[in-house]
Amino acid sequence: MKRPYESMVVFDGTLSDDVVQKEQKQVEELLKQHSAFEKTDVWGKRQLAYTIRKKRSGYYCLFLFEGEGDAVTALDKYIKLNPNILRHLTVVRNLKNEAARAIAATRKERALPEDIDMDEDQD
Amino acid sequence: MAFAKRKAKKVCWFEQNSVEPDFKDIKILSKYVTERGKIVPRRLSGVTAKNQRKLAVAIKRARHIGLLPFVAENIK
Repeated sequence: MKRPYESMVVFDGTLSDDVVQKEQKQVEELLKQHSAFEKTDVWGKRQLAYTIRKKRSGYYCLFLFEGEGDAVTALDKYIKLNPNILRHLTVVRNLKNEAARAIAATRKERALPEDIDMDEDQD
Repeated sequence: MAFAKRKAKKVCWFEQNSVEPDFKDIKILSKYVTERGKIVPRRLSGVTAKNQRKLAVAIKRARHIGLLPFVAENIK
């Protein structure tokens, strides 16, 4: 069954920009071969919340595509063999939720949830 | 009265905005973890049961890809 997927890939943050771009292109090419590739959201370099393979930063990319399960298998296989990728996560896109988010974003400036009173239990 | 100090019931932010928790939305998710990085229980945050389940999954996904910490030790 064809499904919309989103795949977040974290490249090693110590790589130079052109290497990362090349890596990103390679993933896109692979997805184009196996699925209907839509687009890539580039988040750019971010601090990692914890060290992964002794790296403190990662380069985040979100790939959007629609395809069969074997596209995901192919992507997983490629990523597993690529030492420049620290982490990846592929999930089925929640299109309903994305639409709801888009509406909520236009309606007004989306306020953040208020801070939670933690005094009830402390660590 | 023994219950005089009870606070007004909190409303679920996700219900209010008719949006579901998403692992990419770190700004929102980070509001639902303690400073140590633990997931805040429903009784404190007022999130609905349905959204709390989704929130927990979203936070765990965010942890896996290094957007949120499993444990934050560098506080204090």
